[in-house]
Amino acid sequence: MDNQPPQLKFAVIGHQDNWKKIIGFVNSIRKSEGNSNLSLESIREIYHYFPPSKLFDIEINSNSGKIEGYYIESFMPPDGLGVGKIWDNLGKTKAACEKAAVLGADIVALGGFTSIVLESGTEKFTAINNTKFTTGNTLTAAIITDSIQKAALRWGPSLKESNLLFIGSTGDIGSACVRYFAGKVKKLLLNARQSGPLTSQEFELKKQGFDCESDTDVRTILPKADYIICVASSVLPTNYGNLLKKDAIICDAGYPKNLSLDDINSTQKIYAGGMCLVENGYRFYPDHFQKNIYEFPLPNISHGCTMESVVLALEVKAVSFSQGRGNITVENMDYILKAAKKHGIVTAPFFNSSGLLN
Amino acid sequence: MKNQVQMPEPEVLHSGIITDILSQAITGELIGMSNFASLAGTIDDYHEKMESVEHANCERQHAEGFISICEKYGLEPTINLEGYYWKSVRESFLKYARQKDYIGCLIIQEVMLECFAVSMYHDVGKSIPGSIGELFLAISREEEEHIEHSIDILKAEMEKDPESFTQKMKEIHKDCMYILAEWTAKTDLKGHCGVCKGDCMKNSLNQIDLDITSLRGNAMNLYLRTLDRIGLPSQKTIEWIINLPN
Repeated sequence: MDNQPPQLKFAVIGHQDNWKKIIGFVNSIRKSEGNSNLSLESIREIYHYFPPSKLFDIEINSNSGKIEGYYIESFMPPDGLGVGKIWDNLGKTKAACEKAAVLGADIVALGGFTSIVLESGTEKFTAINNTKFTTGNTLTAAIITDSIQKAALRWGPSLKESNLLFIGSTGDIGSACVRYFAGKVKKLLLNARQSGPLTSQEFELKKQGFDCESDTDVRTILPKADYIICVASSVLPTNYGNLLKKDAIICDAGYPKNLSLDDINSTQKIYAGGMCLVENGYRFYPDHFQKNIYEFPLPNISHGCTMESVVLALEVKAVSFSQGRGNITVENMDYILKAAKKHGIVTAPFFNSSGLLN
Repeated sequence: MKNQVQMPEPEVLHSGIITDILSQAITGELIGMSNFASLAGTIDDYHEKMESVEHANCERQHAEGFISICEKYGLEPTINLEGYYWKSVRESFLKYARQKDYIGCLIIQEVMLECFAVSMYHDVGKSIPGSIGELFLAISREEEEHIEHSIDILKAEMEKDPESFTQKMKEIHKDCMYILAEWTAKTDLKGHCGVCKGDCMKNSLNQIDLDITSLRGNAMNLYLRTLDRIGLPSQKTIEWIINLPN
C-alpha cells in the first residue's frame, strides 16, 4: 500500500531584475528558430505587453524526495518598479496570482516586488480559492539573520561586541531582522527613508531596553557599523566604502542586488544576502530559462522568498505563512529555517557577483 | 410647425489618418465576411453552418457601418481586398477552407483576426472622439462575442489531443500571425499595404495619440490571453510571439 503523504504543488511569481537577463532569454528563444537578435530597444517596447504567464516547470530535489512546481513571470519591466508604475504592477501581480490559482497551485511565493500585494495593509490578498499566497519574507529574513551569525563566526568580530546597521529597518524583512537581533548585538543602528516609522521603531526598542540609534541619513550612520544588513536597494552613496569601517561586512539583501563591489576596499566584504542553497539541486523545464534568467556564480542557488513556498509545500502546509507588514515573528523564522534545513535547503555560502568569498 | 434646422456634421480633425484607419477596418471586415462565408462551406453541421452565415452577415453589417460613417463625414476610404496584407490573410484562410479544416478556419478568423479587431478597435475607439470612436467601440464589443464563441470549441479540441492541437496551432500561427505581425511592424516590411491613401498610416498615428507599438502590443496581449484560455501552454505561446517578425 502506498503511504506517501499528499504532495502539494508550489508556484513562484516573480520578475526580472535587469534587462541583460531579459535580452539573453528573448534572444535565446529567437536563436532557437533561426531568427535575428532583437535590440534592447525593441525588447523594451514589447516586454510589458506580455500577460503574466507560466514560463517553466521546476523540479526540486529535497532530502524528502522530489517536489514539483512552476514559475510564473509577471513581466514587470525591471526599470518600471517605482512608485509611478505601482498600479500597473499591482494589476500584473493580481493577474499572476489568478493564473497560479487557475493552474491549481497550493502555495505560491510572491518574489521581489510582487510581494507588495500581500504587504499592503489596505488589501487582503492571501488566497484565491484553495491557492494560498506568501511573501516568502519569513524565510528570507531567517536566512539573512543566519548568514550574519555565520559571517561573525567566520570573519569576526563577535556580534555581542558589534554594532549592526539595518538599512531599510522598518520594512517587513528589515523589521524582522531587527526583532531577531535585539539583545544579541551591542547596538542596533536603524536607517529608513521615512522618519515617522523610524522614530517609532527606535522608541519601541528603547522602551524594551535595547541600545539603539536611528538616522534617515545613511551617510551619518554608516561609519558606526561593523555589520550591515542592506534590505533596500540603491540607497548607498557612490564611494560608500570610504564611509565604512575598515573591516565592515555587508549583507546585500536588496532586490535587485546592486551594491557595487568597486566601491569597497579589500578588507571590507559584501555578500549576497537572503539566498538559499538547494543541496540536492533543482531543474527547470524547458532548461534554457535556467541558463538565461536564473544564473548565479554558484550552482543550485535560489532566493529565500521563492524557497519559502517550496518548504511549505514539502511540509504539506498550504498557508499564507508570511503576509502583511511587520508580522514576522522570531518563532516563525526559527521554524521555517529548521524546516528548510530538514529538506536540504540551507543558507547559501558567501558569494557575490565576483564568485565565492574566502 | 417649426422648421427644423439641419446642422452640418462637424469637420473631422485629422481626416487623413482617420480615413486610412476606416479603410483598413472596412477592408478587414470584408475579408472577415468572405472568410465566414467560406467557413460555411467547410461545415457539415447545419447549426454551425447557419451560425457561420450569420457571422458573415455580422461582418457585412460592420463594414456597412464603417462605410456609412465615412459617407456621413465625407471621408473617402480605399477598399482594396487585393492589398498585400489583407490578400495574404485571405489566402492563408482559404488554404484551410479548401481542406475543409473547420478548426483551422476558426483559429484564423475567430482567434487571430478577431483578437486584432477587438483590441485595435478598442484602442482606436478610445482615441477618436465622437460618433466615429463610438462606432469602433461598439463593433469591438460585438467582435468579442466571436472570440468567446470559438474558445469553448477550441478548448474541447485542445483537451482531446493537446500535443497535436498545439502543433496545429503553431503551424497556423506561422501562416497567419506572421502576416499580421508584418502588417503591424514599425516599418512596412513588405512595402505599401495598398489600403492607405498616401504614406504608411503608422507614421501619422501620433496625430490621434496612438502608435503602432501599443496597438500591436495590446493586440498580442489579447491574443496570448485567448490562447491561454483555450489551454495552450504559455511556455510555448510566448516563444511563438517572441519569434514573430518585428
